[in-house]
Amino acid sequence: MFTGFFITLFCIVVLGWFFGGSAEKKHMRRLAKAFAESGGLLTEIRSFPGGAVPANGAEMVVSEVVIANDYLKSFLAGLRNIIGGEVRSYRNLMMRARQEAILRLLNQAREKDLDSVCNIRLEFCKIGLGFCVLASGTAYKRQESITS
Amino acid sequence: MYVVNTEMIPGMRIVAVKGLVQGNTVRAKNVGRDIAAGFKNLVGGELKGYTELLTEARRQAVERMLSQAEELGANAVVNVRFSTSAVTQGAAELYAYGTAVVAESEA
Repeated sequence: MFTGFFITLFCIVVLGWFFGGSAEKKHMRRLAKAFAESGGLLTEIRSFPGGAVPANGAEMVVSEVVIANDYLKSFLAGLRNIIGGEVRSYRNLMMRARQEAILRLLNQAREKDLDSVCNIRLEFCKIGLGFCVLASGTAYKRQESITS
Repeated sequence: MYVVNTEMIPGMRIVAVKGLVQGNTVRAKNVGRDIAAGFKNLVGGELKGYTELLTEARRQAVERMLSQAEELGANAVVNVRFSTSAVTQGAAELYAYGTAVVAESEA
């Protein structure tokens, strides 16, 4: 019975440490690359920076992401709760979720032949063990000459 | 650095829009504060420990947002918004986001 317990514990630690950690790094690299490559302008102001709207058309884009931490990190976050301070694993997790949601907005805009998103809004909720981010925005086409 | 939660800055003209900037932090109070807050709950009133937690978190989130804006070469952040979320028991996230711009005095 004890061996079973230790095997489970070992699996959780290994899964969290190796697979969870590498998946996180991979995701962050992918996000950084995608944002660096995209020439789109992302803003959360209601006007359309650099775009003449009626001529180009604008469309609402909505995306959602549900993301969860691995078991090891959740456990370590629980320990952090005892001594207090910043919980970095959750900070990264939340930022990843938001970046991913924003990236999906941009991808949707591209599918519609638009290149920028304004009036981005982000909502947060919890679904089971996961964290959910809902992003919405208005996609439009930017005129390069107006704004840098 | 000008930080406002309106889209325009009075007396300034926005000459370039640099894009979305954001900062966040997830902070937890130590278990002693959690217990103290539990006692305070018996009589009600302000939970000072948690107010402090949020103030700290807000300052940190805004700092991170501003440093992103600086990196983009902006001198102002407009339309700043805050959002909070209870990530786990006893830990709160504070998220600040805005649009980094370059603004010039109109005069």
